[in-house]
Amino acid sequence: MRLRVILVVLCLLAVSSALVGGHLYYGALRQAAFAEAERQALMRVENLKKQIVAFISDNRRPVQTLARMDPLTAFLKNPDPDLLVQVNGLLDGFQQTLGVEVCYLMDRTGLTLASSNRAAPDSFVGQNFAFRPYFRDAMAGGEGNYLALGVTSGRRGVYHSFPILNPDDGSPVGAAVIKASVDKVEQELHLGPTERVMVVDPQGVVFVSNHRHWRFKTLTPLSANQAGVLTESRQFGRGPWPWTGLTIDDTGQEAVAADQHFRIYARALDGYPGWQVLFLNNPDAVVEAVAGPLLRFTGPAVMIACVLIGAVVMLLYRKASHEIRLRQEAETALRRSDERYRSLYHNTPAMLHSVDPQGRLLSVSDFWADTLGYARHEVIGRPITAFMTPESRCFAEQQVMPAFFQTGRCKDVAYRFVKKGGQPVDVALSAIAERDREGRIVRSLSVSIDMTERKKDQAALEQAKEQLDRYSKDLERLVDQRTDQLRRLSAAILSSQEKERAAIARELHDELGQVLTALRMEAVWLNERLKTIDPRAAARALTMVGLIDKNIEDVRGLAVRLRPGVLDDLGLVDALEWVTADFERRTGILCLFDHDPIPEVGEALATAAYRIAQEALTNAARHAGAAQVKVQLRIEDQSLALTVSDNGKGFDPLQESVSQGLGMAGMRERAGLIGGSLTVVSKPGAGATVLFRVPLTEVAL
Amino acid sequence: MIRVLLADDHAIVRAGLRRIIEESGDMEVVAEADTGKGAIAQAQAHLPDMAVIDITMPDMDGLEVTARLADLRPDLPVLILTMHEEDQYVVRAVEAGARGYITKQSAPEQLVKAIRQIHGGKRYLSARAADALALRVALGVKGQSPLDSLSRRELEVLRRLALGHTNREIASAYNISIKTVDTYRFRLLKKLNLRNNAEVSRFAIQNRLIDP
Repeated sequence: MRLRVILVVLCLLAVSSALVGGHLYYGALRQAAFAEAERQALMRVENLKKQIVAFISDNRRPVQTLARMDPLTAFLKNPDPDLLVQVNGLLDGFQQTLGVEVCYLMDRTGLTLASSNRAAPDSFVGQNFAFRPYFRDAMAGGEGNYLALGVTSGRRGVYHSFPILNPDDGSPVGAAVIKASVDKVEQELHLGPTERVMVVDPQGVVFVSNHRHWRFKTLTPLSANQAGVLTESRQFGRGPWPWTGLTIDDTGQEAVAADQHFRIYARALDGYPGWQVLFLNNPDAVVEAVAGPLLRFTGPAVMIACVLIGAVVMLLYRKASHEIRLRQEAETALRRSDERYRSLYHNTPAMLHSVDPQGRLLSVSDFWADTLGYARHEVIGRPITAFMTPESRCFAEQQVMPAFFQTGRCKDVAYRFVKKGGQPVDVALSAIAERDREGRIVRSLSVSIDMTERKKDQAALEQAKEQLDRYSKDLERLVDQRTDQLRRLSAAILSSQEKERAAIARELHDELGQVLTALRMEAVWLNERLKTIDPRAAARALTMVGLIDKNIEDVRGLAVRLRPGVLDDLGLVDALEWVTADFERRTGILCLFDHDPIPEVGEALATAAYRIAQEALTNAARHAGAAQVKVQLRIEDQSLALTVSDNGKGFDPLQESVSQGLGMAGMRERAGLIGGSLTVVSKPGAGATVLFRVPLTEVAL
Repeated sequence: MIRVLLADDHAIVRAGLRRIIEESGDMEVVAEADTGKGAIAQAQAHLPDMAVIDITMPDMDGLEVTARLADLRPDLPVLILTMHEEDQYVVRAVEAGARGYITKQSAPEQLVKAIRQIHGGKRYLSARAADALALRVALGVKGQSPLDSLSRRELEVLRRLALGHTNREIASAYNISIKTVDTYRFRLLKKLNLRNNAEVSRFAIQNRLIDP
């Protein structure tokens, strides 16, 4: 709103300044016009004076010439009619040549002796003009110049007289006079309608004027005495000579007549003492003349300028209004946004605060104040560390804040604030820095999350976790116990199975086998004995030998499959040597056995290794379709390593079903029971390697 | 008369063996034992010319007995007579100092012959036992022999070929087909980079698979 007022004022100022400028311009112009008019008036008055002076002095020399004409002198001496004819002729000649009104001759008494108008009704001849000053001047011996109203003719004129001297003594004997009309002056002055010119006698009587009504009126009212003198002189007829009505001010430069105002320029008339030429100029008319065209041009120009200014101002105003509206909208939006952020700042359920580079609080959110129980005015300006426990303060001052004012950020710093009431509040403080243009940190914005509850929760959680852990451990222990029991059971089962097998194998091999062997001996013996006595019986005995041999083979095979005696009698290396050779013999698959010098190993370990090798070989023959199998028994890093690798089709060890089918679980079980490990490396198409590894501890040995 | 010590834990077998020995006419069983320790005691008490000892015995096995006797009675030749057919036993027996090795199964046919031969100062080993022994000797130096790349059966076939046996003979000896023998032969020639049987023989001698 205020801006609008300013704009309107500006608009008014622009218009008024245009007006004032116009006015000043107009004034200056007017002033110049006045000055010019003054100058012109001065020139004019000078000019007029010269013209008038020239005009009223025109016949001063001709009258001298006339006065010296002999006939005139002669005639005055001798008033002879012939001479009169000559005189009249001269007078006529002069009158006509000069174009004056009349030329005439006076005697020393002032009587008119001859005149060029002798034939006219108003003839001067016989009239005495001795009262005229020009006659007196001539009689005094000098020329006479006189402006007056003709006594006879009643016409105004300029009279020039010159004495006619007696040739003998040089005394004046008469005077020659030429009278010229002044009407011509008025006609030939070429004055404008606003210009008025007057030729005024010393008493202020207007003699000549282009303003007809002023003729023979006075500039100032005449006193009775003055009027008397004037009447006496008969210079301007009988009077009366009323006042022109012009009121002339004291300076004599300004005059007012009726409603007209004039400026007066006066000049003395040379040759006519006391006479003046007055040039009156109407300043209003001057102004009219000057301002008229100016107003004609400037008026519309000012109007147009005003309109243009108005239009521009309107345009600018509209622009400005638009701008103002936009700005107001932006301001409103900004204010709302600001309010929103303020609201967000204060209502965010986290403790927000800002500190300056000295660590003094610049602002805190409502939540911050509420949480710590302070009013805002109690905290602003105080160092943030004042609201911390001594440990946190130390931590903040020595580590966190120096680091923060270098890096500009920190995250989840564990502080402990202290409420107004003294209760501690655990927080996790994260902050970012606000920098100025030079990159200096000017303030921080920090968020502190109240961790007190969380810590409690955490503690509870940890407790629960611990409990769970305990349960879990108990359970684990239980599982371990059970597993151990199971393992022992499993081991016991396996062990007893092996024992059983060994027992049965031994029984078969040593008992049944030996019995059969003994039987065979008997059968052979029978055969030998009966050969000669009863060949048929001998043949039967031989058949028996064959049957017994077959039985022995079966029993031996059975026993060996149950558990090879080599393993118990000769040890693992011999057992593996045997089993690989036997494998090769039975399957036709090339089988290489290769071993390091192996110390004697325990029965359990030997059994496990043997069974694993046996199983792996069985797999190689049964599933892998291998062409070659390599069995290696090595001592590596205090461990016994048994490797069975084939070049068969391989399999994916991760595929449970396949592994299951290959008896991997059983092998692993055996390996595990004696503290060893079993690794199967295989890929479809790339053979398979079974690696059984067991540390050679005292127990294993 | 060849005086024989018979050690076997199985009475019936022992009886059978005794009869076989005694029926030969030139041998007599001067002492019997059913334990290993008993055998050693008898050997020292009766000073037999010959000891026929079973491997599987309750207190001390025949191999141990053989080894002890080799110390105690170096002049007493020992023949191992056992139920075990496996080559590993043969090798062990010979290593322990036994002069011969036969299975009980073959006793009726070979026992007397074996005793006689051993008593005569020779060894008595079955063909297969001889093979096993030869292979063990040849493979004695582990990790340095070109033989390491050969399997048991390949070694067996190699040795037989070196000894000049025909494929047929080898096939029947190991109870496999002639074609299989041929396959083994081809494979080992290739492995050892050999061209013919003559080179096979030379290789076998060099590697102590056979005696020159």
